[in-house]
Formats: sequence, C-alpha cells, structure tokens
Amino acid sequence: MEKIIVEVPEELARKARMMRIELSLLAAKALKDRIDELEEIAEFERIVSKSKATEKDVEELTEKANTAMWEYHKKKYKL
Amino acid sequence: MMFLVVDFNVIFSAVLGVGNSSNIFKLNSKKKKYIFIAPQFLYIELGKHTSEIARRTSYTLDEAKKALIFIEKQMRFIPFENYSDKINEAKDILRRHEKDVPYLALALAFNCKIFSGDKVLKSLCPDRIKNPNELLAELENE
Repeated sequence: MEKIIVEVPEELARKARMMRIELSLLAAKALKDRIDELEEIAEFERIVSKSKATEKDVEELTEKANTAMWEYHKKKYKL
Repeated sequence: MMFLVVDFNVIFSAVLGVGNSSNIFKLNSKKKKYIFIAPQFLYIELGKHTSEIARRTSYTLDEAKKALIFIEKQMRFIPFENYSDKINEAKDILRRHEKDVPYLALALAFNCKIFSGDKVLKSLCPDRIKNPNELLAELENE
C-alpha cells in the first residue's frame, strides 16, 4: 500500500475527532470513489468513440421509444 | 444539484456517440451539477434497446450495456403518480405534439427544465428547453 500525506484544516480535523471519524479511511474511500468515477468516464469515452451510428439511428430509436412511451401512458393511465 | 428532465433523444444521442450529448453526460458526471430525471417508463424501454444499440453502433453487447449504465447512474426514474396532476396542463401546451407530454408534465411537477434536442418542443415551450449546445456551453463555463 502506498502512503500519502493529506493536509486538512484544523477545524475539519477537530470535527472528525468529535464524531469519531477516521479521516485517513474517509480520504482513502473518497479517493477510490473518485478514481472509479474517472475510470467509468474514460471507459464511456472509449466506447462511444468507436460508434458507427448516425443522426438517423438516433432519430429512428427515439421515434420508436417515444411512441412506445406515449402509448403506454395512454393505455395504462387512460389519458 | 438541480433537476433536469432528459428525453430519449439525448440519451440515445449520448449512448450512440452522436452530437454533443455524450460530452454533457461526461461533464455532468465530473461536475455533478444536475440530477437528470425521466419518466419511469424510460428505464424499462432503454433496456429493450440494448441489442439494437449494439447493432447500430458496432459496440459489443457488453459495451452497449456499460454505456447505458453510465447514463442511467446519473438519472432518477420518476413514477407517473409524481407528475400525473400536470398531464392536462402539459397536453394543453403541447396540443398535437403529444408524445412529449410525459416529459413536460414531469418538468412542470419538478419545476425544472428539459434537456432536449427536439426543435418542435423548443418552439412550443422555448423557456422550458435547454438544447445540447446550450447545456454544453453552460457546463463548460462552470
């Protein structure tokens, strides 16, 4: 495991002590969550960059899905 | 964080990598400015299109699922009961453009705007719509 030093304001450290929060664990969790998020963004970017779809594909899918949604609402809720 | 209604058009644009929508979902994931909301039906319907998304984009099925999950994680899907009392008001505003009634009713119920690239919807309620270019500029300038 790698060790890092994180400086936090004294007031924050005081509050953490009062609430019995282990700041090092909290910081490690926050870092992990953020890095996971950035990895997900990078993966999404990688996937969409290889798309061969066009505006026409978007329009056709949208039309189909919007029609299904409106028909569902009309039927289920008697609109 | 603020609420913003999203429609099928911007979700499919983002997942299919067409236009600016994918950049908006990426930026919002970093900046966490908006909670995107949509009628609950969208969640059910999106799942039905995974294979078609893979076919049209040349993604693998796993990639299509991952792209959809990335978008869905930024969203909350709202049951009809939470916006049903705004349906008639939305119908009056949209008249013959009835397919967008659930989106507008949801926006009226949550008193928020709609992220949509639909030009007809923008012409019918211009103050209520943020198109992809407007939203991208806003997020980039944050």
